[in-house]
Amino acid sequence: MYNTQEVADELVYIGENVQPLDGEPKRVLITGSTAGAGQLAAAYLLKRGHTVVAHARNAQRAADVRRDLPGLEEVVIGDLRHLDQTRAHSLSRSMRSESST
Amino acid sequence: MIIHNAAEYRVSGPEFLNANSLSPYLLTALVTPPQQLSYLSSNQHLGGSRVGVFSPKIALILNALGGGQQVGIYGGGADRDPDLAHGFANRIQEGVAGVLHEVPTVGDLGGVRECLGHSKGIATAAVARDHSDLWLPREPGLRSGWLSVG
Repeated sequence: MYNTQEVADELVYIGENVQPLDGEPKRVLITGSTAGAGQLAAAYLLKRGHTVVAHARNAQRAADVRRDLPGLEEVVIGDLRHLDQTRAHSLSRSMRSESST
Repeated sequence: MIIHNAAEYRVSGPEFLNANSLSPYLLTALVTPPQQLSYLSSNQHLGGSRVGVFSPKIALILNALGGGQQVGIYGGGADRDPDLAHGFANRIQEGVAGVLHEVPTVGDLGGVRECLGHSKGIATAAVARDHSDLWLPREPGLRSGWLSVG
């Protein structure tokens, strides 16, 4: 929805061609993953079998990325333009547990 | 693992600083460190009217590395380069955790600036760190990928 055609094409390519990995899956948080390179990274890592936590600036974008990338473990919400939200974000359960992997 | 990717460009100065530099800095400092940290920076944020100022995220990476200065230059724009042609998936590398995988190293800030000036590409950095050392990877290595996942 927020992407250029190139990114949309790449998402299709990843969906059709990237194969699951053999090794140990990781748990990965990607900030700004509702579009562009962030979404591509999320899509790629999901296809590889990693556990992915996405991040969106607001509820609308969070809903959109949940729809676009159904395999996401979670989508955390916070607008990084506002440092109070950044701080709150860092204290969220998902960000803390991120450190375990 | 945390990949710091989020960034803004068509926003006011304070919001630009908050989103692109201070937020990744704060998040890095406040969360319990993961096994691997990556910081991505794209010069699509430098396009148009903002030409001439390289991304604050690059400076953050350089500071964070305390002189390590691993910054990679990738010759394509992930979001708008028409030559991308399914390159994204092929540019992600998955490797052994705790080892730095990097695209060509740039020695200093001036070098970063120079590279950005002569490249239409996206500047990216991927830093994997060892458990024992927050900023400096114990054993840096070079790879050709632009985003590594250990």
